[in-house]
Amino acid sequence: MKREGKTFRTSVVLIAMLLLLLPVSTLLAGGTQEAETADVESFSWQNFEGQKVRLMMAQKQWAQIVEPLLPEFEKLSGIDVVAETFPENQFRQKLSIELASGTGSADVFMADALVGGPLYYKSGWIQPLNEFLEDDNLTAAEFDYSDYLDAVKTAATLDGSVLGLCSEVDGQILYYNTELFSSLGVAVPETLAGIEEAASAISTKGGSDTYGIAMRGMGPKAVSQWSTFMANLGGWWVDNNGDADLTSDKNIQAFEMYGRLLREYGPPGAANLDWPDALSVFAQGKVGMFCDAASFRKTVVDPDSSRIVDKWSARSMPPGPNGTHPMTNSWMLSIGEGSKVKAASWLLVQWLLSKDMVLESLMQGIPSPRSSAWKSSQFTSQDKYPFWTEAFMQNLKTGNPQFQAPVINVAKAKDIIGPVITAAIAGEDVSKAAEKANVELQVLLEEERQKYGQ
Amino acid sequence: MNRVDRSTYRLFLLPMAVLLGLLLIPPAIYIIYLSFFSWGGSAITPPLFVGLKNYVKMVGDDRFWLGLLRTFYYSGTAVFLSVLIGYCFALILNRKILGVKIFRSLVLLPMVSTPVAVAVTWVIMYNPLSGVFNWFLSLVGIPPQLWLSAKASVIPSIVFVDSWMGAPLVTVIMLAAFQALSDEPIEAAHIDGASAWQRFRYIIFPMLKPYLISATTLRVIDSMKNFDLIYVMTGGGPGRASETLNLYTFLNGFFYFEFGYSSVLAITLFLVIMGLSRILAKWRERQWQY
Repeated sequence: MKREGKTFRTSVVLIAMLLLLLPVSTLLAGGTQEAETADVESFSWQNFEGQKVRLMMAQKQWAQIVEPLLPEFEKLSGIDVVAETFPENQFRQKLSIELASGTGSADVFMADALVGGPLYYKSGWIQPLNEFLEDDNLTAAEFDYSDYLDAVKTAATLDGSVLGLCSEVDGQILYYNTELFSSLGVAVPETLAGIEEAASAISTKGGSDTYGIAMRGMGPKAVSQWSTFMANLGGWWVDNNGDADLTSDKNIQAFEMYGRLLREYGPPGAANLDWPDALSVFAQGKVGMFCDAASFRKTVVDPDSSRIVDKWSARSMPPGPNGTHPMTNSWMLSIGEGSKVKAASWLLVQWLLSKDMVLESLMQGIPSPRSSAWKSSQFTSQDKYPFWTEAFMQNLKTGNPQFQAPVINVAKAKDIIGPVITAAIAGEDVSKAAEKANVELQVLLEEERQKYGQ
Repeated sequence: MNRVDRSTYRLFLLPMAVLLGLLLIPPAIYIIYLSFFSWGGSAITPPLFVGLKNYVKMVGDDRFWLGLLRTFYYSGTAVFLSVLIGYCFALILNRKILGVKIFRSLVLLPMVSTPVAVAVTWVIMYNPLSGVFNWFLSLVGIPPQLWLSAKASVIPSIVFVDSWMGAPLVTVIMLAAFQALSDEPIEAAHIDGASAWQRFRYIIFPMLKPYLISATTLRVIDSMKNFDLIYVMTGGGPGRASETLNLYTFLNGFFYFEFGYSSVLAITLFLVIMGLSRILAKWRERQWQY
């Protein structure tokens, strides 16, 4: 009995200690960074030395270039940068969760100027950069925001607030395998309809392991690429009243053309192709044409990833009856509204997007958001791929920046429209799928009109 | 057990009970609360009370009903396949054959593998252009299949992976069941002239039923709430052909930022799974009464 009583008392003491330790350990586990001060007298890269900035990036070509260069910034500023990079799909989802949770842990992050940027801003998760750009004590004299292309500045601005600074402007171009085209005697397409003729010829003459074209086929992911076909054929997301118009003749034609191209002349499993898969198949030399972002040039010319390093060329997306309006997009670097190191984060952003860094990215194939980079003698004298430059310049002239439905909740719109593309690839009734999607899109449009008063 | 032992026993359970309570109860209460509001996670706009609107929306939402049907289809096939495979493995592992220990380790490997890593690996194997499965089929003259890229084959393709991962759990449970089987009634039946099938049908199987139902219950819960395999392998595609209710719940929360509606879907899924678990538990209780 005595021994059992002693065991009982010991148990009580041990367990009470454990329970007491729980809240204490929680307090110790999460440190908080002191709120930074922006009370600096003049600009210096070392103004916020000792602070820590968390940088979240999507595994895009631009991130692969800048990430190895971050130690240079750390040495210059004394700011510790914790960089995290994720595949694009997982990045979007992780970022959304972190921003929605309100922890303020994402200091600097990449954001798509159209898909995500406006939603994040409307939700109060993005710190507008206007005050930083206007403060000479926080912005280096040589930064020069006016050097940014007008279209790019417009894309990253909403209601007068600068949501972020563009790290890359991008757009859809048509890559093609010159060896396949010349060996099979196929002409490079000059029109949108010509793409189908060329794809058919390559598939027929090339044999069982050669495909005419590769593009994104994974429903929601393919919507942006499909938008070029829509715009070039004269279709649009909404009618003149701002109501959903996916069932218009031109839109149906665009869905059917896109689906037919992948179904008849694309690699097997096209319905599950995202851009890394389509790019990979093209870089392996199995595909005649690839329609997607200009920034993917980096992979096409990389001898470690590509078998067609010197067997490719590019042109702007061929025009349809409505001209050529290829999708144009930009990714930007934004600062989180909940960040406790905003000024230090701003130093990182302006360093990453300085004239020198942007030129370096352009030299490696990332279309530049700054005009000085395109005009620099370093670029023009060493441009090994003038056809790529010309293709992209056309994109800047006539590109379509509204490459998703005109809503704030773009992710939902992509999920609504994506199944129509999937139906087209599978050879199903596109009109029926489009009708269903149109109803859902209209519901979304009306919800947003009520919510945002648009 | 005397009074001191009972108190000690309860005290040792207390930390875990407190921890589970803190982790489970507040989020559950919050989800129920949120289900009556419309909120996008905005730091500017607070949640807006909408009463039962989210529940009414769910009832009229075709995507919800289709997701629920797909969940039942997915779970039904995954449970059947994993219980069948797991049971067969258990029969093999219960014998004294050469290499049984190595085989046992190999059979249990899928259970301890990381679901995301497994999903990525199987996506590569299922690739219609360069995947190993189509290569095997080509060796026997079968044309390449689309696997995850076709609406008809996407759920069976994922179910196969789910079953591969879930079968070891059934194997472990059934191995324990075989150990617990009493030999006397089986020997008595054998002496009385019962055939192997009769012994299995009238004696062995009824004794194994409670264990089978336990294994089935665990697999039902696992498969109905499966998320990582489906999300990584197809994201719910092609089209929405593999979009189960759990995935739809996730999309509403973290892609569409409709936390109120997402909460309603989560509550519904929870009630469905709980209902099925209760039915199976009742059935198992009846089996113990033989």
